[in-house]
Amino acid sequence: MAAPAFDRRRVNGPEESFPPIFIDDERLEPLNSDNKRRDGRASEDLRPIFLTTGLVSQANGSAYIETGNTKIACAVYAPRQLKNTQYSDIGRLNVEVKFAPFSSVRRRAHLRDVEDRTIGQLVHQSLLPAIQLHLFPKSSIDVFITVIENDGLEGCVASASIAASTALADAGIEMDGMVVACCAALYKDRIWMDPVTSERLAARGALLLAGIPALGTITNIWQSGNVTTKEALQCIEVCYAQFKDIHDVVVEAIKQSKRAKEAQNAA
Amino acid sequence: MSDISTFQRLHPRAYLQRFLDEHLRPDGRRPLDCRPLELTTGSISTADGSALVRLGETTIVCGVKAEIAEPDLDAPTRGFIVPNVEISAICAARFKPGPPSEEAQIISEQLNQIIAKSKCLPLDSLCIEPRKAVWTIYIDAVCINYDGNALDATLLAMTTALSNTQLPQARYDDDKKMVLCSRMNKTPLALKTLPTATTFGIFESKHLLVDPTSFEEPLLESTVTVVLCGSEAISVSQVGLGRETSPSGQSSTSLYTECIELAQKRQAEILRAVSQTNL
Amino acid sequence: MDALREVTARIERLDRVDASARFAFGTSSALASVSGPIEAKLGVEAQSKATLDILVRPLSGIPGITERLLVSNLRNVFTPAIILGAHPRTLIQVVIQNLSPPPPSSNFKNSLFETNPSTTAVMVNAASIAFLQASSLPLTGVIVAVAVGVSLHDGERVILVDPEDSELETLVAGGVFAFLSAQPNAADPNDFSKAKVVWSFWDGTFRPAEVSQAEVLARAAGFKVLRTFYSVIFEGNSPSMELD
Repeated sequence: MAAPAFDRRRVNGPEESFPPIFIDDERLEPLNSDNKRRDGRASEDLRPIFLTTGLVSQANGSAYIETGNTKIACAVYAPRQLKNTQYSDIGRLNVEVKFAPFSSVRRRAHLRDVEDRTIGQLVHQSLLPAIQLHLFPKSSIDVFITVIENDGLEGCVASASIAASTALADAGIEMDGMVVACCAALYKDRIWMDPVTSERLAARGALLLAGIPALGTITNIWQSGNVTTKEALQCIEVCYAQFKDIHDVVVEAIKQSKRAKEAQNAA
Repeated sequence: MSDISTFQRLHPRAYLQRFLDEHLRPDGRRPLDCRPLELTTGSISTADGSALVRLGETTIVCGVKAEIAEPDLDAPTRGFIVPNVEISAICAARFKPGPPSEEAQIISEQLNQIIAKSKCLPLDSLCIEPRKAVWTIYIDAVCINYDGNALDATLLAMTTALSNTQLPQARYDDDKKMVLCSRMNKTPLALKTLPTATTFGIFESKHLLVDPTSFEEPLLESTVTVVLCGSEAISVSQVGLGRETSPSGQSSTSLYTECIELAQKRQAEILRAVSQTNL
Repeated sequence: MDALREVTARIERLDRVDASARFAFGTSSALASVSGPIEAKLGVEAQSKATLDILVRPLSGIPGITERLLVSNLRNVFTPAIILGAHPRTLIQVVIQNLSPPPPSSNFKNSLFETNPSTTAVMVNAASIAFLQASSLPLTGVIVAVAVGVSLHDGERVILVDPEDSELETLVAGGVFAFLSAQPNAADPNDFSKAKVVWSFWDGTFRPAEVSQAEVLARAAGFKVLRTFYSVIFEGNSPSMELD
């Protein structure tokens, strides 16, 4: 990819540069010789989730999530005064997603690319129904997400949504329930849960599901690729089946953050 | 809100002054103490080299990506080093989303100058084939949590990420007119002595504070930055009136000499932390 | 080695600004304008003091982050020289146009100084004269800046005040000293010894004795520069003058 033209706000490199081309690139078969996924997971296994809160000291709430190689930091600044806009009797949710330039196999040039905005909208859509915006008139709820490393775009949206809802809870923003998300990919006749980038490239389609397990509702579905209606419904079901486990992880992280805050206040 | 934090917000100067009267700083440090340093390397698999630095609460993630470019006509063997830091809306309340903050632009330029002047990575060592192909080393740092002194922390993140970087072996294929690389054979960068930066602030023309936090930074009238490379100071600067000394004028040299001595102690600490990380 | 190049200091008559001035050391030259106090836009207005806005324009192209870093330093240099509290909620705008031609293309032997440090010094001085000429802003003192380089000649290190472009390649260290002279008295040369260093940077190996000596030389030269300011401001326009 050609580097963007002269950017007066950054240190500029050469006009054009290209990622290296490898002669010994191994063909990445999505399956191991023993017909398992490359990382040894069974089809229905998620990558383990590491979730913690409170890494950004000035933010009202923050969270850091790691699922396999995917690493995402999220900070919530809310409620903030809405300036220079018309009166609004409900709060406004802003979600900004940024990919670090080194977060993907191919370096991402600095100029905000289209993908960032799409991902932001998907996270926005996943979170929106959960937040009690009527409690925040004239305010904005700013959610900033930085993707430090990305391994599987659908999984990245799912992890970002989980981190964002955890950070919102950490910030004390009233919600109807915690939002969790999960994704699946279709490879031949299998359904792989939580696909990594190489699996997603081999797959013919994928589906992301976000929802509020406490209410038994779903808030967002993002389907891509070529799948039948039946398969899509099947994906929704298997994703939904994982919600409870993910929800447990989120609840545990929030409990821990609450304990840490209490300990700090006591000190 | 407790009484103390109200006082801190309304009268930050008086608040800091009260602490300094007791030779302490709000976070419990002595004026010439640095914050604890934590370093992790190589945790980002999509980068050719990476590092995470925590300086107190300030957290910087840095990743190196190597790409191939055509060299400039008048410098056919010189590669490119492109350092940039992102200090955006996520890391502190005062930064807004959008293009790089003024802070980020200033620090990126400072880092660019430090890395160029220290010659820690000779540009000739990035040559693949003269006039045809050279490496471009993109060093991108992202600030995740901003609590002051981003320059020192980012420089450390960048140099640590550079020493963690492995370049694939590359050769220029004359027939195909392109560069071919090998994933199997990788070599570390040809790094020389790495620069370290130590930033000082001066409060009320009197108190010298090393490694300022984001609370202290806006209260400082002057800053002194010392860049060391090995046993030498390669760049020093004083911005602002410095410290009040004898009435017969004042020289920046004595302030420099004192700061350089302190920076040398700091450098030893940093190098110890770096060598422990590389174990 | 302690001589400045030919000093040119001139009041300009640019339209739509309160004052403007040109300053040059030999070929290193800059044009600066000052406007203020003027109305501040809502976004930059400060409640208790004037906002100091400095713009640096490169000789060609658009300002980049190099100019941004310079602006941030210049803001810190001029802030102690202006009584910003006298005009709260207003704007002071300074525009500095760099007019120094880039040094003859060195073959990249010396990346220490790709531009002459005097380029920076003349920008400070041009802005400083413009502030004096504007006389619409109360000042605490006058700022003058001088560049110094250390050149390596046959294994010997020589300190040069205001290095020439042709000497850049031989420089192994150097920097700029900017002084704030708070009690200006052109008649009493000793007065300048009280001028405070308000900004200095030194690139290249730091040798305490060398830097002290450089500062002494810069201070002496700075005093000469200050006298030029006065002769331009008080004794009328002298288009160009050579220093003794």
